[in-house]
Amino acid sequence: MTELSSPGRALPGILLGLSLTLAALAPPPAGAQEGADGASAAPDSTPGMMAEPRGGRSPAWRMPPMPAGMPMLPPLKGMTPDLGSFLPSADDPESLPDARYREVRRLSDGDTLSLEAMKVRRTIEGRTFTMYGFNGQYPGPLVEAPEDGTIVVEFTNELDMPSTVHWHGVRLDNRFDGVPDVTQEPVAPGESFTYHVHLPDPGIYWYHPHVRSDIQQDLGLYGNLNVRPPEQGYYNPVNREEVLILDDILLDGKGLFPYGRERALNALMGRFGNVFLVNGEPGYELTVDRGEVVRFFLTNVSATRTFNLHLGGARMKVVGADIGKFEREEWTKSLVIAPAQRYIVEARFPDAGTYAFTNRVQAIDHFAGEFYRQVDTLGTVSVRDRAAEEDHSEEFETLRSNEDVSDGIAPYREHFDDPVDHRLELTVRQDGLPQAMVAVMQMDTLFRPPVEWNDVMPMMNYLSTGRNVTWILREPETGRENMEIDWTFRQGEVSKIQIHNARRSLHPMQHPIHLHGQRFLVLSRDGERNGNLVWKDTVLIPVGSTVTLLLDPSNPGDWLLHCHISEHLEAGMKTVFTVEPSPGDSMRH
Amino acid sequence: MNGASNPPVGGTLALLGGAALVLSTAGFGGPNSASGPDGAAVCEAAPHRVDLESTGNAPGASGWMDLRFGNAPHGVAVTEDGSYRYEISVHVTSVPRNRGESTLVAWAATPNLDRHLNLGAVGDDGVVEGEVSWNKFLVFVTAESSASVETWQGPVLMKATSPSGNMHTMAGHGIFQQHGIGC
Repeated sequence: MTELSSPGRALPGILLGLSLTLAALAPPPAGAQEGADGASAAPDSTPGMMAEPRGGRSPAWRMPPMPAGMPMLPPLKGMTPDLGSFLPSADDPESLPDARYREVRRLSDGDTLSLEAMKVRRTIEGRTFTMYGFNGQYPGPLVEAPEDGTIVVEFTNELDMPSTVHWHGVRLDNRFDGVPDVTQEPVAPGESFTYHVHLPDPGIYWYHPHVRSDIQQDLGLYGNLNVRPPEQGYYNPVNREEVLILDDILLDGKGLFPYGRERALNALMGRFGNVFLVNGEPGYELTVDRGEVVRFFLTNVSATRTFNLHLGGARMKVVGADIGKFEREEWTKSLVIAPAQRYIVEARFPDAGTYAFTNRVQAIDHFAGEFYRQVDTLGTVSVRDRAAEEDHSEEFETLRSNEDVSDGIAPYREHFDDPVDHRLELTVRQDGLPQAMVAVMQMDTLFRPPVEWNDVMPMMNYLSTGRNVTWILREPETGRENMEIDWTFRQGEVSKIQIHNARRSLHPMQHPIHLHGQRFLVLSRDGERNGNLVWKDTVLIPVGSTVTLLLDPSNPGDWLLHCHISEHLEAGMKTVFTVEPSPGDSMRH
Repeated sequence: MNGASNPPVGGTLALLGGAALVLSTAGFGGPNSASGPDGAAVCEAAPHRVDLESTGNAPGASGWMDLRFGNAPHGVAVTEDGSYRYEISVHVTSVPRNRGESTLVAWAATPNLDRHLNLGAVGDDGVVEGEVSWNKFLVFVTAESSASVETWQGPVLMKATSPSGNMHTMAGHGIFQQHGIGC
C-alpha cells in the first residue's frame, strides 16, 4: 500500500475550474467518521431492506487493501465509514463444521432438498475464517433437475440474521421467489420455509439469499441449479461439462475485510474482492485430454466484478446465456460476464500443455489518466498429451443455428417495432460523502468508463455507504424513483422497456439489471438491433448505453427489478412491478 | 452544421486551386444533446458523439464522430485483452477545398502515434465507418492523393480525441502537489 503523507495545510488553490476549499480538509461532515471504531452509527429500520445482523463482531475499521502504488487522497486519511462494522463470529469457532466442496444433487420431479444456511469454517489460501455455507458446502449443492419438474426445498435459517432463498432466473410461482417483504416474510434465525420451485426452462440458474446479499452472498451462500432438458441433442456433444461459479473475496492482513453492519459498505462501486474464487476456491484446476471439448456453465456470483474471461487462447463458442440457448452459436475470444449473469460456452483444447483461465481487463489509473492491462489468473486447464477418447471436433467446429429457439421467439417478433412502453434512467445521488472525495469525483467528469472492471479508488469506495449514497432507478416521464415506480403488466401481453444508464452523474457505473420471475429479450443496444437473441433475466448496461428489452410477463405477482451489484441493491436501486393474471389463457404459454 | 442544398463532401474532390470553398453535406443530423430536466441525458440511442475540430490547415472544417460499442454476443464488445471495441463513424459536414489533394481519408491512431489505422475514404455522403479496438485514440481526417495510402502524407484537416482522452491526470491535482508533484 502506498500512501501520501497527510496534508495538515491548506490546499493550493484552483485547478480545472474547481475550487477546493479548506472544507476539504476540515473534519468530515456527518457522513463519515474519523478514527472511529465504527460502532456508533444508529441502526436503520427501512422495512424489508436493511436487515441488520445480530451478533457477530464489530472490529475497528481499518484501511481497505489498496493496489500497490496507488496513492490515497490525503484528506481521506484516517477517515472511516459512517457505519458500524460486521464480521460473522461464533462463540466457539472450533465447533463450526469445516466447509466442504459442494456435492451434486440430482433430483427428479417432486424430490425434496433440505437446504440449511449455516456458519462454517472456511479455509482460503491457508487461512481459516468464519463464513457461511448452504449445507456446510462451498458453493451450495449443485442441483440438477429436469425441465418442467418441480423440486421442493425445505430451507432452514441458522444464521444470526433473517434470510431467504431467491431462485435467480427461474420463472416460478411468485410466493416462492424469496424476496423479503414482497413475496414472503423474511425467514428468522432458527425458522424454516418451504419453497416449491417449478422449472419451466432448461439452462443454468443459481440461488442465493435476498437479504443483505452484500454479506450473506459474499460469505458463501450461493449455488447452481442446472435444469436439464429431456431431449438428447439439446446441447452439442462434448467430452465433459464443468459448472463453474466465479467470485472474488476481499481479504487483508487481518482476515476478511469487515462489512457494513446497518447498511452496505462500498456503495459506490460495490465490493471488489482481491482473491479470485472459482467454485469457492482460488486456483481452479482442470485436466483434460488433447482435443477434448468442454462445456462450461458459468455463473458470476461476485458482488460487483464484471469479468472478461479468456481461456488461454482456446477457441470458445458461445452457446447459451441466462435462460437457454442463443438463436445462433458464435465464436468469441473472450467472454464478458456481469454479476448474476450466466453463460454456456464450449471450448476445445487442441494441444497438450497449459491454458491459463484468466480475467483480462483494461483497468484505469486515474492518477496517471491511463488505462493499464490487468490479468488475473483464475486457474489453469492442463491438457495431457493423449487424445481424447471421443473426437467431437467436427461438431465443435460447426456453429449451430437453434431453430427451436428462433421458433420460440417467432411469435414475439411482431412486437419488436412496438413503441416503448416504459423507460428507466439509471443514476446516483450522494448526501454526506466527504467533501474532498466529492470534489475529486466532480473533477473527473469528462470521461466515464463504460465498465469499471476493478476498484480504482478503494478508499473512496470504502467511505461510500448505503447511508450517503443512493442508487436510483428513475422513470423520466414521472420523475418517480425506485420503490415509487408503479408498473403494472398483464400476463401474456408483452411490453417494451427502455433503460438508459446516464453518464451525467457524480459517479456513473455499469449496472446488471435483473428482473425477477420473467424473461426478456434484449432487442437493441444503443439503437442497434440485436441479431442473435437469447432469453435473459439480467442485462448489463454500460455507462452511457441504452438497451431496449421486450419483456414477456408470464408470471403473475409482485416482482423485483433491481441492479445486481449487491451494494447498489442495498443502496436503493430496486423497484417492484406487478404482473396481473391474464383473464384467460396466456397467449404465450 | 447541416447544409440543405450543397453537394456532398468526400470521395474524389475536384481540384480547386486557390480560393477556399466550403462544401456541406445534407441529410444527417448534428450532435445529439437531448437532456432531461436535471441535465441527465435521455437518449434513444446513446453513442459517444465528439465534434471534429478543424486545424489551421482547414479553418471552418466541421464534422463529428460517433462511437458505439461493437456487436458481441455477451453485450459488451471488448477484445481478448479487454480493450473496448468501438464501431466508429466519422461524419464530415464541411471542409474548405483549396488544395490539390483529392481524397479525404479518416484515420485512427493511438495517442503516441505508434499505431494507426486507415478507416477509409470519406464517402459521398460525408461518412466513413470502421472499427477501433483501442481504449484511447485520436481520429483525424487528412487530404490525400489516394485513399489507399498506408500512412497519411497530406495535411491534417480535422481531429478529435476519443472521450477517454479527456481523462484527467490526478497527479496534477492540487491536493497532490504537496508530494513533490509539480513545481
